[in-house]
Amino acid sequence: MKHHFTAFFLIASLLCVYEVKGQIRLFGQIINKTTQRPISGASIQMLNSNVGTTSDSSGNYTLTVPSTGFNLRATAVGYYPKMRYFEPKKDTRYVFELAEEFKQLDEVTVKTNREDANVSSIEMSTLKLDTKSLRRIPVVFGEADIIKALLLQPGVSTVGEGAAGFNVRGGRTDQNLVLLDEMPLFSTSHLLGFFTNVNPDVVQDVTLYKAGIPAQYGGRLSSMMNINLKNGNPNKINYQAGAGNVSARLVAEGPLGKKLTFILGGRIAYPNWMIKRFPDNIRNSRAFFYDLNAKLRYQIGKNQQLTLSTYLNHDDFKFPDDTVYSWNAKAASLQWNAQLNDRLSLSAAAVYSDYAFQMEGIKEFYRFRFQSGITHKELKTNLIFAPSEAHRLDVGASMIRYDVAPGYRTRVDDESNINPKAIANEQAYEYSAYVSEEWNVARWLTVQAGLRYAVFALVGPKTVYNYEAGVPRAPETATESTQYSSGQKIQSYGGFEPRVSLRIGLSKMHSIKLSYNRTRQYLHLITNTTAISPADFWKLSDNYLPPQVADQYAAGYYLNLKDNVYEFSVEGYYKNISSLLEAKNGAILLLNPQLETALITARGLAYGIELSAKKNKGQFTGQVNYTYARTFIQSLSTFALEQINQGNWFPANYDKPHILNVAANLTLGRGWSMSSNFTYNTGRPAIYPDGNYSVAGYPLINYSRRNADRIPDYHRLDWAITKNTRQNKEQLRYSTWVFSLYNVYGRENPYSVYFARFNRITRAYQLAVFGSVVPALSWNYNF
Amino acid sequence: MRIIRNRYNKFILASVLSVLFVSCIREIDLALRVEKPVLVVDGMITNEAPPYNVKLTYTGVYEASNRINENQAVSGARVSITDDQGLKTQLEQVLEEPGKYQTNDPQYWGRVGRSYTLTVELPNGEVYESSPEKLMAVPEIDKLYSEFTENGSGDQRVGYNVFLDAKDPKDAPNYYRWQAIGYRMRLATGVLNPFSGAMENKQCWQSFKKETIDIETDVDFDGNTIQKRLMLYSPAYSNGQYLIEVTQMSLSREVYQFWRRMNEQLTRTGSIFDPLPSPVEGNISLKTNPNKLALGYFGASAVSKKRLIIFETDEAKRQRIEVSSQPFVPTGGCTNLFPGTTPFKPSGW
Repeated sequence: MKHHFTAFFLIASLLCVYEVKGQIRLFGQIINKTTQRPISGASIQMLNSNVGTTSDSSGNYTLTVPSTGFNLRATAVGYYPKMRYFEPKKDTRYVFELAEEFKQLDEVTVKTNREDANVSSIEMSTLKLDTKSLRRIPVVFGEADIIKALLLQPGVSTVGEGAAGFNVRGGRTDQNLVLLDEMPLFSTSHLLGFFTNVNPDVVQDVTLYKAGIPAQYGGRLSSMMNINLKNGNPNKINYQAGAGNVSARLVAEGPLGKKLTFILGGRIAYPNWMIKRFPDNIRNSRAFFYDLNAKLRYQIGKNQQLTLSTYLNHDDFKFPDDTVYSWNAKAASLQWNAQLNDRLSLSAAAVYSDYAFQMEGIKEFYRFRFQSGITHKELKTNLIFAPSEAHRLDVGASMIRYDVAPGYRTRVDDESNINPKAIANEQAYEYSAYVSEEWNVARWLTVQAGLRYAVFALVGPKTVYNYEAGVPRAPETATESTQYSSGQKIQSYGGFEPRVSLRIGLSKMHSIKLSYNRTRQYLHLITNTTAISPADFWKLSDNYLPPQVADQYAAGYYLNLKDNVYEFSVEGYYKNISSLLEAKNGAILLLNPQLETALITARGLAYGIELSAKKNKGQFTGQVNYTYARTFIQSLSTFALEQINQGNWFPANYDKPHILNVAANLTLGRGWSMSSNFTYNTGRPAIYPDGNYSVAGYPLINYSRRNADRIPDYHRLDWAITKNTRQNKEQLRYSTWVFSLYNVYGRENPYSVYFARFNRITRAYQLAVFGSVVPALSWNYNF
Repeated sequence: MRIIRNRYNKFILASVLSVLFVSCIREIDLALRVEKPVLVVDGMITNEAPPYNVKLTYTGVYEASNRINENQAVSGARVSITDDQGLKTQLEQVLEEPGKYQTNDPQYWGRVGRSYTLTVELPNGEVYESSPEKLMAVPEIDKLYSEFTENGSGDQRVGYNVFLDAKDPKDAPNYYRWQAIGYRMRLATGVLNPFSGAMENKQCWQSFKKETIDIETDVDFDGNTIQKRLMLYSPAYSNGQYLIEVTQMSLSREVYQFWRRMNEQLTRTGSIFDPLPSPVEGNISLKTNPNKLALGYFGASAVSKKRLIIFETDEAKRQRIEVSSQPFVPTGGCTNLFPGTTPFKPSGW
């Protein structure tokens, strides 16, 4: 251990020079033996040497090898490794067929594709989630959940238990690009945020980029989450069914003829039996959600695939005799991939995603319907050229059309006193092109440099107001308005987004990585609450609201020990954000036709350090992650009444300096395993009262500073035991049972602290979401 | 709009509570920061007869579980109101009530259409000034009416909901604030006056006020009717009639926003979905540094009032007697038996 840290300070002495004799190329593919599907990210390594590479997304690999005899070993997570002896005299093609490894239990939840990827890959600040073992993580109500699993990782946090969305390295919840088979999701929540709206049963893998976001992706500032859906099993039809405290699930997959496969997964919830146990005024509330995924994959010849993915989700919540809230997403993507030759692959995709929110007032004389939403339509193409082992060039372009409905309200009947009101829809185009090169300069040095250029253009029809100079923007200070016709350009923004990553291998076991990222975001989620609420709505950049821009610098040190059994990393980052939007004090945001009068701009600053230690193999696996992170905001307004915190820097709502997560898993044999999580974090900032006065007979409290206080710290222990009845790979029908305890020691973790008044006396209260241990049982059946 | 916001807050509260069957709320002790006192201004001018009052205080140190510190009154300030035609009146300190200042010119009336500015010169030399407040017209109240209801709770199970109808003028945006007060008569045997030999203090009047801040913008119903808007719940305990008085006031946009921010603070539930708390600053700032704002407001309002007398129906009476805890006239002086009552008949009774 000590030796390795010493080594870190003696970089120069440990730099190795690798030499390769001969100029013969060995190339081919790595495929799954049973399904004949390509395996991406598999590793091929020449024994007793440093020659090696990784297969690309189509399973292809290329190696420059010596003509002398050698052993090659191909490995991939979830497969038995395969070794073969070669003595090539000329360029040779060879296909490795790897057999699926049957492990009763996968050891860890989060792992990188290659065992040594922590050290050897250029990627940094990247989290990968293997959904196979997701079910064993103890979660509330036993619902396996992608985002809840990521929250155990460094650099990912949430504002509170059950709050929607997630924050990555000081970024807001709207700054995450979540792609489900290339379909962007504008909401990730079921039931206000208690669950993630993607069914983990149909997910193949999840990758979250906290930094080093590939140049291919843009449009969001802080992170990119790539969720790949499973492809249907090409050999036979099988099913998986499951049920838990809150929802029931079913997945069906299989072949449809020789070339076509399908997978269909759905989830339906029944939270009402829980709600019915409540007192009168709550018992009549109703909640419901479902989600559906379907994917078709068609193999054209040997080297081309056509994939159609679709996604549907619905949530609703009814408050008795008052209002019904619902939100829906529908999305589809059509992707075409072709391996043109050993060096060139081409892909193209058409993407559609739609998110809609609806609120229906059902109170007499005040019946109304309110709707808002966003539609994203995109065409994109991408070319990968890998002329040699040392180079990989990515080039691509995309075009997006956004249609945003910030909100419109209609009267439901003639009795209603609510006037109809509509905020004009907004529409815009975002064009982008990028080029990215990954260059293995030497065995110990890899450079990835990308440049992305995006242009955003807001187009009519729209009415744009002008405002008097020298006074705060307000409806009364509007001087005149300009009418833009359909398709007419109103405002455009654009700029370069450089992305640079550097990897310096110190030895096979440790490396240093550096990265710089610039990202731009033209979409804003308009909100004035601490957490995402369903009534938050999307807004495009316009004349008054410029795009948000972030610059992130990150550096890390990575160390693997004992044949990649132990994995360590230290990462630091520094991030500057400009043009954040903040609501003015007491502003009306919903249905505001001149939203620019209710918002001011602010800037943000985030920095932190993330430490991670993992044990990846063996009966006992686990990880310890610690994050120190700070995020600050400063409002930028020249007018006193608009300033937040008197114009001084203040901590962001999700600023939690210390976060510690510990996860452990123990395989007990005979299909039993046990897992446990512990999580600790500093209480999030809060605004506590600091003055007492009265106006017009009403006792009032003064809050002179923003986020100067903190709610008490959060900590929680969870525990789960899993029984898998599968005894060998041939067994096709088997069950998985998970019994979990969430919040084992029943701590009343504060969700918020608030102040309430009874008989003119104000007292402080804390609201704990879960005040006791929450047991849950979940069952999955495969047949 | 406000309708949606209110529903929305309720929704969030209810859903947070309902989804989480083990959520819990507990009182806690907190160590709180101590900040410098801030000036608080509370005053308004109306088109009703003077005097008009302005109250000046400083914020007290916030202590959980404590009442407002009453020793924060500002005395010795020079306070004046000026209109847009330069007419000015000085306010005099009311000695009996610390911090209270009052106009003493009976000719200085608030007029619809004029703008009024408040100036406060503190003993330490600082001068605060309000933005000019335009006194806007307010429509008449068309109708007040009541409905008997049994949906109250506890000993207030039966009573009357008092509703208001008014016509909103279709013109520039209107902002409203409503106040409502109800009176009922209590009866006692009275006490003997040894000089006159008559029983005195046999009747007294008890008042009950609308406690919530009731404000509205016509942005959702401009030019339509304000229909069946609940003004007050008047619980029925005793025989006879009830007198209700409703005040409808105009507000400027800035003062409406001030009241909305204040109401938002008073009604917050503490959920994570609440808008972020912020100082309830209004239209008053330091003259030499407009970035320094005082708390509170100075407003200018037109006022229209209407009264309603509710006579008890037989059905209401039967229902009331079932829940009433005091069906008989008690022995003693009325104001002594019923604390908080007045022996003076309210006007309009």
